[in-house]
Amino acid sequence: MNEKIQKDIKKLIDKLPDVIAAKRRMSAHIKKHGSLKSFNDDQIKFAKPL
Amino acid sequence: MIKLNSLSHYNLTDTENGYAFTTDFGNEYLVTFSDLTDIIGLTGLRIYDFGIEIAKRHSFENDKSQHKLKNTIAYLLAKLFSKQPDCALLIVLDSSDGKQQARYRMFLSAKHDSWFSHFNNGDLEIINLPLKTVEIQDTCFLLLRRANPRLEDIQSATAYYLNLSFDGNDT
Repeated sequence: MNEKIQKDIKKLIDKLPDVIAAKRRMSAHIKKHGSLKSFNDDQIKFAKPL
Repeated sequence: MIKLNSLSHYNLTDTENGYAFTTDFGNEYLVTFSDLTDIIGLTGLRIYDFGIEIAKRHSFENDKSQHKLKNTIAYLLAKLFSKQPDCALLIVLDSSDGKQQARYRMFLSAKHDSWFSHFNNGDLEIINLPLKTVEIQDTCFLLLRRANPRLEDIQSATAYYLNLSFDGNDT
């Protein structure tokens, strides 16, 4: 098994609860404000990969 | 995924934090990608946390009944994997309203007429991720291309941690 990938997957699994919590904060913000304006969260880094 | 030019989809517009589109019923959606590579400190993988939220509801008609919404998701996934073929998407099915199993059947289940079953022509793979907490019942998956050079490594690693979670051992 590739050690680097195994470490990455472990980090991901360990961090999933934090990722989910941040996602719920984002969802609550959108529901309340109708947008992501003024939303900041250190567990979310927005990207535009398309 | 199916060919892009065969899709009738909503047009995505750029926003400060991602993308947006408005359905024929007038409902406004936000599409977000959070780059977990930096947040978690990944060194070998690029993983985005994918989100789609209804931002402004102007109609109570069900957008999910329209093919254009499904096609829009398929379109943006196809576009993502054409631009970044080796990335993976984290899909989290929210459980806060207790409907995560219904979401699984609608979006991902191979045993049902899910959106994934409908659009995937064999190019994509979904991998179940274990969640190491009993407080959240969300269901988590990685979505990636079968041709991803790291697929077998990712499958092996997730299977390893999945087995550990079933054993009750999280070290």
